[in-house]
Amino acid sequence: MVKIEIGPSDNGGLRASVVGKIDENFEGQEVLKQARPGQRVTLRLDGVRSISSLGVRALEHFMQQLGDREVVLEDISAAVANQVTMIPNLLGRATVTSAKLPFVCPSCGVEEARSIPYVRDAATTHAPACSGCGAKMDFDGFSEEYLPHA
Amino acid sequence: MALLSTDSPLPLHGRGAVVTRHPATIRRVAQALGAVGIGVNHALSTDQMQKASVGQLRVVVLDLDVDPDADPLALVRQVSEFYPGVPVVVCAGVHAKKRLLATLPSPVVRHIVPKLGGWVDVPSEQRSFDGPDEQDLAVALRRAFADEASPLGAQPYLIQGFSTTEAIVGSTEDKERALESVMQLAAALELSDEKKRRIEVATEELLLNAIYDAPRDEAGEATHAKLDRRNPVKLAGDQQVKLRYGCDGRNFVVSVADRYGALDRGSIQRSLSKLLDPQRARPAPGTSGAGLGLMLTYGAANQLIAHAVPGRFTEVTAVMHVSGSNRTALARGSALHLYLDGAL
Ligand SMILES: [Zn+2]
Repeated sequence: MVKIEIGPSDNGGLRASVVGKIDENFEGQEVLKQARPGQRVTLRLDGVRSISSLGVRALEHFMQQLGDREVVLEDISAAVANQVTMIPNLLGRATVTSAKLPFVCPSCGVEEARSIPYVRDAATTHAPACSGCGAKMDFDGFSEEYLPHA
Repeated sequence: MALLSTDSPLPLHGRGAVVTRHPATIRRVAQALGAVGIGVNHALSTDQMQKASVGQLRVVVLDLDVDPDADPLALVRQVSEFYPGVPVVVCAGVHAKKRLLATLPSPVVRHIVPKLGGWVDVPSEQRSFDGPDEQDLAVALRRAFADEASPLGAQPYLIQGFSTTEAIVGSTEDKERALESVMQLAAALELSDEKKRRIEVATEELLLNAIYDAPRDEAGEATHAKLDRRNPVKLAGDQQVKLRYGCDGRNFVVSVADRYGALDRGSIQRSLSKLLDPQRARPAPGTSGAGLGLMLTYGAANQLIAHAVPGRFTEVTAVMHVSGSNRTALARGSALHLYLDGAL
């Protein structure tokens, strides 16, 4: 089950934050009802912890129903990012700006999900500083499994 | 020229041919074979394979990296023509995912084992890998040689004698409850989000497959496959599914058994080949999408084990490596072990 929180975004668009597991029950009706034709929709997806095989279809359907609106995805979670590398057309025509991915501090061992730009090699070129000790963090994964690599 | 000596002070249960020129692979494979009492006939290439007497050879381990430019299926064919009827384990480190999965159409290939560190396709200058995990390979071969004709649950993939939890799943509601109890264990162990996600994906997809894909009528037709999976189902007593799971700190193991034995090599191959051609991984509304669940489970697991005896049972087990970082687990890749049609 997912929870969706909706509010305005500063550029006159609609902003929704999706939290939980995307499965067969995901419809996103709240977003589809509130988004006006042509309105820009920004979805924050860092709260999506998992997507099931049935959720893949449901998410794909939801993205299609957003039609020709401009759709921007912010901070996609590792679950979404990983699924996109396996199913590239999952997010339709949406633009992904950033991904919130797992990092680990080599100095103090802290593990954190941190937001980085959704571009090739960003896990190294935009590696965040540890919030505990300030050291440059290591990506706890492989770019090929979470970021675009073409 | 040195003679091939096969004298051994140990009681051996046959021999295995190992074709590799990678020192770490020689060592790890030899350890795995030794652990199940199999002596090693080593060859550096397919051209150097030694003839073995009929019945002596139990298994061939083929390292596809002996010729990284060769067609993987052609290498397998060469081996299976030289050693007819002998089951083959393939391993690889160079473009491992693509080249290992390319061998699945060959029925002699029973085990696909990535070399540690070779799974993710990094640029060649960053590439470094070890041999395949000898412990996992020994467990896989032990199961093959034991020729068990019943489901084994999670136990073989945990420290010997380690306890597992069992649940009978007879409805969509039971599935939700069972999934919740698996995830409670993962949460109590304070596993990272990515490890928990992989466990959740594997558990849910294995249960969904067992509930919706497995049930057959007397004519062998799938009875639930066309159902919209958004509709809850209730299974009759003889259709119920058994879930067994446990975690020994190294592996988190989830095993799901149904009573039909309908899973075959063709459907596994079709499902996993989607990983090589992602544009095809598009499910139809409300349905499973022809094997998407199995593909996701394989992607989530470090080992996927499929055991089926037609008309009796299918058991699919997913092993997730949980000691060490997320990166460590990903670098191990996904091994596949097939025990189908009563063959090794
Ligand atoms: Zn730190």
